[in-house]
Amino acid sequence: MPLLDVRDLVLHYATPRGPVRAVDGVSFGLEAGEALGLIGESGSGKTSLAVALMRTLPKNVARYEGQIRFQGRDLMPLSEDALRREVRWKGISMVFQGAMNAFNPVLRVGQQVIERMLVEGIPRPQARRRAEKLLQRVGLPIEVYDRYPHELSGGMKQRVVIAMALALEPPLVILDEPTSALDVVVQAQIMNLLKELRREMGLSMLFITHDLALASDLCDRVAVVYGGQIRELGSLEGLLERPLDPYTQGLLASIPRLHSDRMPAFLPGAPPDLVSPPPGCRFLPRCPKAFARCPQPPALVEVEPGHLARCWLYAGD
Amino acid sequence: MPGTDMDPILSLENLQVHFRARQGLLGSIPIRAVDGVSLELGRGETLAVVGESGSGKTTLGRATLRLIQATGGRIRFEGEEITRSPERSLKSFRRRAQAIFQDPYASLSPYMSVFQIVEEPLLVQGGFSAGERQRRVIQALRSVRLQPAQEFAAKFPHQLSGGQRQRVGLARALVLEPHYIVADEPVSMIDASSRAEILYLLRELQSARGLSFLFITHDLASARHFADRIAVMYLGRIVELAPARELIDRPLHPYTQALLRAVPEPDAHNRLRMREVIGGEPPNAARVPPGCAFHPRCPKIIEGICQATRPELVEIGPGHRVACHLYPVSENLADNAAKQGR
Amino acid sequence: MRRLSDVLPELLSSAPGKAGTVLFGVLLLVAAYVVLTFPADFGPARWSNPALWGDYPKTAPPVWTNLFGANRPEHRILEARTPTRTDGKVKTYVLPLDYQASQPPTFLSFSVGDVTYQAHPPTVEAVLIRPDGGAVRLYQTVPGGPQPGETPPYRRNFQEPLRVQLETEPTAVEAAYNFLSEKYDPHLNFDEVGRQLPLALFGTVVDGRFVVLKGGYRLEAKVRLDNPQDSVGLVRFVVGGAVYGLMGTDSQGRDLAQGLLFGLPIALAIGLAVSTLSTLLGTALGLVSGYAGGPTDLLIQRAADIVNNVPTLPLLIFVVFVLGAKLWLVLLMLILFSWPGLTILVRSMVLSLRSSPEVEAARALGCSTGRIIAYHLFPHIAPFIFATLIFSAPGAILAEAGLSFIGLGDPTLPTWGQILEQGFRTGAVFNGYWWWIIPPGLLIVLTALAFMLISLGLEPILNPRLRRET
Repeated sequence: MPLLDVRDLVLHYATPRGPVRAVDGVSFGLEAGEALGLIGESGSGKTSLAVALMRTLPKNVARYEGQIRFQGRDLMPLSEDALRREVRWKGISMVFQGAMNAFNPVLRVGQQVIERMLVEGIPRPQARRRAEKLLQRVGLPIEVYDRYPHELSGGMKQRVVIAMALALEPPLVILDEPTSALDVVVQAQIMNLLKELRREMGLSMLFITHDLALASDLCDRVAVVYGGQIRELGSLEGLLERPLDPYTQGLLASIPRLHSDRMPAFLPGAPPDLVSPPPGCRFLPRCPKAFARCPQPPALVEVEPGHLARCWLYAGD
Repeated sequence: MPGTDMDPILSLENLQVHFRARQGLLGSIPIRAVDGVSLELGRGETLAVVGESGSGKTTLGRATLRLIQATGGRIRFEGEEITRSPERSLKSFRRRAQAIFQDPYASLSPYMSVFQIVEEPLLVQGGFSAGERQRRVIQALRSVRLQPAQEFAAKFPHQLSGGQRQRVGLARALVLEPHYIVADEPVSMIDASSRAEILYLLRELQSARGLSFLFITHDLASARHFADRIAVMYLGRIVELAPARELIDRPLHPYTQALLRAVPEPDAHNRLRMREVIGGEPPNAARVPPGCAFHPRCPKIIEGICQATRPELVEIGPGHRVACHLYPVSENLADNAAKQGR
Repeated sequence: MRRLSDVLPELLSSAPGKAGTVLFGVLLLVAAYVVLTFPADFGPARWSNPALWGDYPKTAPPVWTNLFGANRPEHRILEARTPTRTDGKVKTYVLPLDYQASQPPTFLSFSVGDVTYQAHPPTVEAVLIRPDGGAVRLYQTVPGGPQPGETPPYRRNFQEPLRVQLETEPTAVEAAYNFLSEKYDPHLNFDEVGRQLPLALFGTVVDGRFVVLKGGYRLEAKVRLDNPQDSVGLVRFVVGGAVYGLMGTDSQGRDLAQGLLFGLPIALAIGLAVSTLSTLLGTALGLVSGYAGGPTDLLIQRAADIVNNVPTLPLLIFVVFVLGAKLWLVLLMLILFSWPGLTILVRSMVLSLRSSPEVEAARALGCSTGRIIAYHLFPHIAPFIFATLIFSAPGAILAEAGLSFIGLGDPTLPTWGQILEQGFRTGAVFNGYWWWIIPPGLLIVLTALAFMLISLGLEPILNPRLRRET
């Protein structure tokens, strides 16, 4: 039984122009100890997917349905209160994009790390000991506990954010662009930390990023998200070496390589407007391999064992 | 490759940009954003300036455009010194030197149509009739492939995608037919799958018009493919400068090597393999260490020398210059070391 | 991003915004009507001219109060400009009056005007024809004769009609006594008739007491003209009521409805003028201060600090004391002391915009400071400025009303604040003249409310946290 099993997840936002289909029928599974990468460009719906999983919904939700099974338990029927008490932070925690800029500037760092532990009823001295251990675990000196956020560098703050996500020892962490706005060296340090955490704590991770190269540093399997849907899902090796979907191929080819003379390619056009996406395949307007069947919506089908694609090229007959 | 020695369009001599930043209630500390940069940009050349945030690469670009006043050194542009020329005498310079900015959302006025945005440089320069302006704007939009140009001219930035906005910014920079463009992270805020499109467009315009680019980026891989030369900056100084492929394939400075090792590549073998990465605090221009600024993080530090003496940028191969004590000790350094000893 | 043209749809999309806009529209329409129909010199020539209001009842409540209580007489002004009958040299002006109130008129006055004659002045006689058939001669007069050096035709009483208060007129007392004692009560006391003449004229005697006689009366003016070319152009009887008009009258008999109506355009003009000018001033100083920086910035900011801390009220009292109570002066003072808050706010907005990529790009193009301010800074803060403008209007209206209320109003221009102030000064509150106090107060509140509702609708522009997802 997978740790997390998502079936037909839908999240639409209401806007004056009509519903935005940010998440439009997404299904995937995540085994214990596994790291799954969700790759998508801006506006692909990858962050909304995290929002839908954590149910941290904004007010303008038009449609929110599907099935989210975590440790065998369906989360959808749970009340908001039960979800907050039993699942968020304890079962699934999340590192939000830009969380390192969301610290309370007048509270000491340690205070903010133990906040959630205190809510759980852990006595303060014990919480402090645990927080210090966590800070050390993410590679920070204990003194950071008594520092204010502005005294820390970006990379240190990001480590604190990760420590906070681990405060209640959840089996699954969702990381949304955890290294955006960090320089490449610091990014490499954070990625090293995430690898260590996986190896030593057996953490499962859902790694959301726009950067396929970065995902390849950490993830066992990768899902490519486009237009609110998963276009391709497979093992990292399979996806990098034999990308099936033309969008994945284009995305892969657009990454400039350091040690190869092959010039990066690009996909013409822009991602679909999620208010009125193309009725058939959502990649159709930009696809170099489009053919007669593409105006019909393709299904996500298993092309090779464990390797799924949403593309008519692999639909058979 | 375009010549870099003869008739440079831009040459910087020991350029310095120092600020004073307020600290506490009354105190202030000096910030050496750019601290003695000398380089030459050839006609038709693209020079990538690579570095982390705080390296001074953006300040360097701005100083060459006279958006920030240099506090020391000299800037020569097309043979004319412009380091301290008053703003009113820079009109002709402003026509020949243009900029493309990182954020295509924030650098275009949301209240102006694409036509008005691209027309603005012509209005500011003056001397163009309405018909001439109309013709040039449409031509600039065509040259950045915003087609049909008439249709795009009537739109407003919020109706465009990130890539299209960036092309509007490019059209604005091109409409005066400049000779030199500072492109400050022109693609970092654009979706990965569209980045190369803009970079190809820049390159195409360059070869068609003989433009010179200062390409400021943190992305070494893009720099390799789209620049002729790469300069790596660390804490306000150039630590290594070489032809693009040479620098990527045979990096000499330990900092360049560290940067290159940190770049993620789409390779399944990287998974779960720890990257070799330098530690230490990221650079802070308010606290520049003495000697070689990189020495506190350097894995190859030579004790006693690196902390004491600042290495000069010296040529150690054809067009390959590096500022590091690891490479053939020049007489200069020996002299300095001797002085230190006394 | 938000442009100024998005403001109206945004405003109309919220309930308070909609209500405010409708209310403001109604106020504007009424104000436009007033501006078009009232004379420009309404204040000095009419409102503050006591002679004009002599024929009006003093401190009379509005007519519609009769719906709730006693059947008090209505104020009637009966006027004729051409004779009804001509019998040879005698011309008669007949003015019918249907009197149904249960109280007598508060007074009765008679005026003659626009008299022209060739040689001898006409004789004028006022007569009351009662429903019981009695004809009571009220008054007889002859307009002034020719002056030495004057040439015919002689014109009399064109500017100001000849006016008499009939309730103290001996002719009328005697005529009324004669008629009543003959018809109803021979023991009638003459002095009683003199004391209660209006009641005597419009009543009968029952058991020695006067009782109002309801029914159809006629007021007639008989004019004997010497020459066919002679004429009397105006005959007016005023039957003083105890209630008047839509809004009642004040202690000078002034029609409060007119004063209140005239106050509306003034209030709107004060609100809009002060808020527009002070917003412009504050915005301009803020833009310059924020963008120029350096000594200019320092100068403006210190000036703002000083102006912000000057006690405005004592200064205003002093200035009015020295230079006199003039509306423009009060408004100027309000403008001069209201800019610092906005300047400080605009400056802080400009400071963050100044380092924006857009401004940096404009500088790279070589844009002048003026162009950067006009094209790259101002549009970003324009919606905010617009909302501030609306937001500050009620403050100006309230400030003017408050200043008028403490006696710093311009006496030549009736504002709501002044009407209130006069009401208080003449003890309207203690005497229960509510129609003099409540309507101006309510109108001030209503006008302020219109602006407030609009600003409430504009709140999402001022406060980005309240913006809806679009």
